[in-house]
Amino acid sequence: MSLRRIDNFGLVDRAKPVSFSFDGRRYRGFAGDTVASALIASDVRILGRSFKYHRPRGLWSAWSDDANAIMDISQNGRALPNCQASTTYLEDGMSARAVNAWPSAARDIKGGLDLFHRWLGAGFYYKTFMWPDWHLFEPAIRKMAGLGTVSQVVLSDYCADQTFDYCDVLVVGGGAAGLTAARAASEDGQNVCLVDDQRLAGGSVYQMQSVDGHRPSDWVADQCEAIRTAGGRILNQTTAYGVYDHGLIGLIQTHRFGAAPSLIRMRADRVVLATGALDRPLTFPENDRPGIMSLAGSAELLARYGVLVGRNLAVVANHSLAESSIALLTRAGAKITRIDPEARPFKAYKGARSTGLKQGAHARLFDAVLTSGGMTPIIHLWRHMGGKLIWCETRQAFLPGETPAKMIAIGAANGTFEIDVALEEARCAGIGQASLRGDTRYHINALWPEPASKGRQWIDFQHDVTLKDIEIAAQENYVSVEHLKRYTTLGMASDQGKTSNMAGLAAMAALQGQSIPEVGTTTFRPPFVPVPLELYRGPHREQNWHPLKRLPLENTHRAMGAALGEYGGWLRPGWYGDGDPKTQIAAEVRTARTSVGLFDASALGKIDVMGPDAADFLNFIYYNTINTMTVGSIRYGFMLTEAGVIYDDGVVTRVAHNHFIVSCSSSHVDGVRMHLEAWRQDGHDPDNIYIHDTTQHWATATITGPKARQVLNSLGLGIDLDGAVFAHMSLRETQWQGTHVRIARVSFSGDTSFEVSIRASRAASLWDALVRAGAPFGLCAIGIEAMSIMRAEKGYIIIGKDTDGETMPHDLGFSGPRIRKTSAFLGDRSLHTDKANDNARRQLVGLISENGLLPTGAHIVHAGQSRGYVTSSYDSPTLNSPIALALIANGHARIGETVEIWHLGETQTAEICAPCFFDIKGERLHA
Amino acid sequence: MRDDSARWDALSCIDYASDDLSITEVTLPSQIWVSGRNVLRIYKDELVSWPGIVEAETYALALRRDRILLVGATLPVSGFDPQSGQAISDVSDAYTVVDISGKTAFDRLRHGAELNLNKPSASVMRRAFGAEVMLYRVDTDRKFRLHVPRTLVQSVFHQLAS
Repeated sequence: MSLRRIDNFGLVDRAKPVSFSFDGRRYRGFAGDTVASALIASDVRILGRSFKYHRPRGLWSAWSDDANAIMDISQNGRALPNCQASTTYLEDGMSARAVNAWPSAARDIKGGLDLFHRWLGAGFYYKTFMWPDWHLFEPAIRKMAGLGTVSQVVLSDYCADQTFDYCDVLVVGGGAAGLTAARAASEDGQNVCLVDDQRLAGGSVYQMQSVDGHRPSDWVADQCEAIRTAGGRILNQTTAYGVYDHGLIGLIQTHRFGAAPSLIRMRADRVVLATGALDRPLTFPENDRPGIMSLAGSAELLARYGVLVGRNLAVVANHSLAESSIALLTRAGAKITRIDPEARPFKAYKGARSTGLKQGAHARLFDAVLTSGGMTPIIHLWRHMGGKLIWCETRQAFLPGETPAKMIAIGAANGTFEIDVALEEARCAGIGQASLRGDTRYHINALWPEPASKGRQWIDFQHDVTLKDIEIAAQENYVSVEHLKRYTTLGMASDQGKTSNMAGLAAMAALQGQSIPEVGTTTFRPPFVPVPLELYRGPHREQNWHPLKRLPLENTHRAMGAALGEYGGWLRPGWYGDGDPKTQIAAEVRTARTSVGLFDASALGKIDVMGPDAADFLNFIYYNTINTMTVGSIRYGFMLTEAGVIYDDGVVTRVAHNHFIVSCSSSHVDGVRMHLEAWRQDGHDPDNIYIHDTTQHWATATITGPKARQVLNSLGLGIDLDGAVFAHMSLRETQWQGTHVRIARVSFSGDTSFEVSIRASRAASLWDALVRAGAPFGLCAIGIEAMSIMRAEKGYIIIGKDTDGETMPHDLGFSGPRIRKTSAFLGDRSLHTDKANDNARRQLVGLISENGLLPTGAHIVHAGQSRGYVTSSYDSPTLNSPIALALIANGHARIGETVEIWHLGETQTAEICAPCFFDIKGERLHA
Repeated sequence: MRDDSARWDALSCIDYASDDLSITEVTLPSQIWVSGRNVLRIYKDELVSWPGIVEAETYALALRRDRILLVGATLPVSGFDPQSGQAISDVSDAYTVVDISGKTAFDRLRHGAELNLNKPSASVMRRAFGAEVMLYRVDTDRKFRLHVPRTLVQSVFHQLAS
């Protein structure tokens, strides 16, 4: 099939050929191949293009540290963008296309961009395209930016499974050290989970001739069997991609192509990090040429996939581990030419189907140039967990330092590159014994980028960050590694610093005259490998995406033809009936104003505050005075933040001497409960105050309008509802058909109203009884839209709509407590600052317009400046005219003024008035 | 202002059965929050914590250091009792109680909740499928009981059964 496929090497199933295409051409591989290994076996040298210069890119490595071969892949109508060819297992019928290249990676039409590289250095887009206007260039640049193409076909069944899991010991990495540790832990009786990102565990074991005297594949099989026999689990194709709060570890498990991956949120008592180490590139001129690849990666291609990257190979390596890779390649028949890496300068150049290396006058062509600048332990999860790093001069690498709680690093991840030492270290780790890192036989001749050296030398292959770019960043004082990363995009995207970080840091260190550890590393953040957003979405879709709270009467509302919508996190009736919504809503308002309306107010918060200190506590929490309330009374009040800004409004009911009910906005129930709990626990004696959020136990039916009392009377509640006895802002408790009910005389409509609360399971019976009782009076159910109009007619506010993040109570005309309340309350100090007393504060007023409805959000302008805005605006069915509420600078002193209203380029005028348009004397409210 | 009625399924019964999973709604006589300084000590004989198995008809769920949920008890008067120093609220209708049993019950629960039968916890409060629930076992080690906030039970049920 291919000269590159070597008999007796690799783990692929040669009895199962697989057909696929790349950039429109057909190729064949084997089951067990990755897309990348099959392409290299097919002698494809160019697998992608770089991001900025569209330089041709060959494969750098054999697994997740390759950011060169990024492809859009489809199969059977399922297309996924930006797949790493080196980690995507080959399946029959796959069609792959290199991203960022057209018509193909080999013949990319934008390859000519590289000719302009002198003008496209780091930060070029910050410095150019300024004149005449960035927006002229923006569309073209945005079109060129980004990688991959999202298919228009929606994969409706692409749904990530999400589970929580637990184990005693999580071993991350199934190489020699990981398998040994997992076996030791399992046989020690611990609940072990080993995760390995490849199809077959073993890590780089297959590159060895033997492990512990066994053939690598036999040894791996033995370890796996022993782990399973002892009760351990092995999760293949599973990557630990991040450590989150309190040690939660994110695992992504991949499946067949096109199937969504699974998310496992793993909690482990101990984590053994056996993630190995990565080969890092050498920095020299033209080091990004196709055919230049990682020495360890080429050995892995041979060991796992039986693919030899060439017969005539150059090796440029500066450390002792290179010898085993060279021996492996030699056994497979490669002719190796050793190039002394210290004999710089040398540069790569392009051959016909080869890669050249030039040193002085000597130029030689090779099938591939294999480089290795040393091993970099994979310590990403270590850093996520909060572990420290130390710099090892001997290994020229950052190694795990002070151990974070619950995690231990072993093997190459710990800088232990010798197999015998690593296996012993792993056995100890498996049974929970730490072993000290000893001396190493590994040796390396430090070889880092040399600033000011000649030629274009790549640091980040995917993003085209060169040594020159690092120099520019340093010149422009982006010397912090975090600034360097963001200014140059070093280590971003698929690479995430795996191959580019060390060279970038070393270059900056050299430019600063500092050591590498002095420069430090950038912050390691999850995810370690790219994960699709679907992983996080999983079942949180459609109705399970931000699920709304549901009313106990929802099905009753549906039967009455309610139009349900989200209001403050609840699914509530907006209006009733099938007709034109505006007409229906207006009819509901008119019925409620002239006769009686029935409104479901179950969503309103009902939080019990109890205990000996309850009164004083609420007196502190509320702007208004609470501790003078008598039992059975109700008071309207504001809760403020410490900044004096209104957080919520509502009514407080004193049910008993030491028992209050806080009724808050429906959207603020959870927030108010937490607000109260926070102040209870931190600012008061928690043993003398108890807070019970009983909102969900209760359902509340509000009956409002001039006939409300008559309707309620017909229920036979056994209490006198007469206004003289049962006054506005008071509470009665009674029984209805043997069930306890609370009746609060409060009003959000501005009309005579009763809020009848009953346990939720009896809500439907009560509602039906009220509907029947109201029928002779023409009662209609009213939705929240009608109620919003009625409250605006009365000038009652909705928090967050008629207030904003600066509104204080005196801006709404509630100045009394600010001036007179003597006891301490939350936000008090902030109400006396210069800002709080500024005459230009925006204050709540009404607006009357003769030119029709004012748009909500329209600005009140003066001399081209905004002086406020319209917060609520409606056509009032009660008044037969438009009304509006607005927050206007110094509004209270400007009643009667005509102001200019601006909205989307159009202006009109309106007159400022008091924010109450209905029942100004309160006769109906108190009737 | 938009009619989204069709975007949300109407409220349905909490009832699902397959070969290896059963989800049913349970009606309990009462659920009562009791908060107080010594409440855990006072109710220690009836107290259930994770992963406790309940067999009695009346019991107390440990929620936090100063709060329990009395289940099945005769309803005392809601409010604050100065003599015992206990705050009492009837929340019988605040939580829908759901029993989950069958071979896959625990696995189903682990799709939405972080659970570990080997890690005892003083509280039965858990976050499951996005809701603050109370979770414990009843009768057998394979039957789990959830007290789910009534307003979110449809969402939790839908996720459990899907």
